[in-house]
Amino acid sequence: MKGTRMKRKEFKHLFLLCLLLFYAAPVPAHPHVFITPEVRMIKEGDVLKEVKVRWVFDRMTSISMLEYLDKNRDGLPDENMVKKISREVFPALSIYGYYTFISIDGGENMEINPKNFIIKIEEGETVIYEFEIPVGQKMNTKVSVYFEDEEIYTAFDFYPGNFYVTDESGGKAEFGINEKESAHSNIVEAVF
Amino acid sequence: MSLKKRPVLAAAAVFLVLAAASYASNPFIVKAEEKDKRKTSVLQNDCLKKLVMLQAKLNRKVSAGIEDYRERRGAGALVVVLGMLFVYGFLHALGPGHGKAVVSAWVVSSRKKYVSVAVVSVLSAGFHALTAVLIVSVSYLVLRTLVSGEAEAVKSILLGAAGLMLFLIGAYMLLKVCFFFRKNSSAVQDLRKKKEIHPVLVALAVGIVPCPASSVILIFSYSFGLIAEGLLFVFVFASGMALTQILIASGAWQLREKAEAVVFGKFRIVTEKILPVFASVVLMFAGFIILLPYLY
Repeated sequence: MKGTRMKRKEFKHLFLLCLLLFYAAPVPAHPHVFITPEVRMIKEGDVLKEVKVRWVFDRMTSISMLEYLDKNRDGLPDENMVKKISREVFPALSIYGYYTFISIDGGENMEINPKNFIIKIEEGETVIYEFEIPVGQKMNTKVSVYFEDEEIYTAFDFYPGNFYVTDESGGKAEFGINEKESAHSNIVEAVF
Repeated sequence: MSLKKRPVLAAAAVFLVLAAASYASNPFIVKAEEKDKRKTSVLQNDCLKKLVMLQAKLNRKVSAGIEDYRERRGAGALVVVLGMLFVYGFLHALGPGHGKAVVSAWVVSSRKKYVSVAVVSVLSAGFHALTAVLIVSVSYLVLRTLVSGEAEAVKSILLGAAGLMLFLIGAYMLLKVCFFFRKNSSAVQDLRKKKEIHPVLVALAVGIVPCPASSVILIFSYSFGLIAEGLLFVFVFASGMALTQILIASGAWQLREKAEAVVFGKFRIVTEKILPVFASVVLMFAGFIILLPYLY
């Protein structure tokens, strides 16, 4: 009986030790960049034409990024850096799917191929990346959008209040957060 | 290779890995490499997700608090910022990274005095912030520019070499431990003593990576002309990280001690052999994960 108890204790402690060892097994990084995304869905009739995304970087990251983006401190991104980021850096985010996930009427997440990427510096100190995602798909009632970096180098802090719809036919949407799916509990859903 | 050289070699490998990892690039200003793509799905952990979101909120509050302090310069505003920074540091170190795996592996690989565990925990957080302070202060205040992230090729080579070294060191330690035990199982105590790495060296290996969060806090403060305050902010932030490190390392130490207490007789092999072997495997695994993107 005593032996059995000991074995149980051993297993319990060993199991906890194993858990502890693997708890912080090599995961690249915890968040160092915080982005508040803003989204505008452009709808024409029953077609979702495109999704405009605006990433607002947190103040502290923005200040750090400005060391690269605005070396002459004129409040505008330096031309050569804009070119470099537009041609090399931003397209390279495709390996992460641009951290952007969009699905229509509960379907699969669509492929993200952004265009018209621009960099802005607002209020002299806040860095903003803007881009458009062409969609051109028919939809019935629902568009789901979320942002996620699986490596959590970047954390996306988003709210339904930062989501908008432009519909020439006068359609409106109600925004809510889908918390049913545990994997991605922060999915913002636009229901038309 | 002598047993004396092993800890030094292991420490060097860990140092290399961490130093190379310090080049971790912001993918929004430096091109992300294809091989950097790794699927970790860590965000599927709801607790971690909440932790991340909490950090996002704190990050905003801290930056607003620092700006508020810049305007008011009052003791009250300073205390508020310091309080938030301590909590931010605590939560920040709670997430993945910060060498908790390395420290945990070191703690459970053999019995340690608690004071050694505490020293490693506190100093690793201290070194982590100190390296950031040194790099940012020298580049920002002396050179008047930040080091750009152009050395991607160097980073890639270093990271690959470090991953390979870590894997080989883990494999070497594993083979050596197994071979040693088979040859002379009575010399366990002796082996354990010789395997000890000095706590300061372990802390240095873990903390030598400049903390990106500390760097950002410092740059943010320096940009407002808050030089002394910036250093104080990072000190308090590091203190929060140290608290997390010491709590987790203490947990590992407690578990190790309990396992030591309940394991006796033939089960002693668990603490004498299995744990050291397991710790070696963790190092090999870490090296393998780093090498994985280079293999395809």
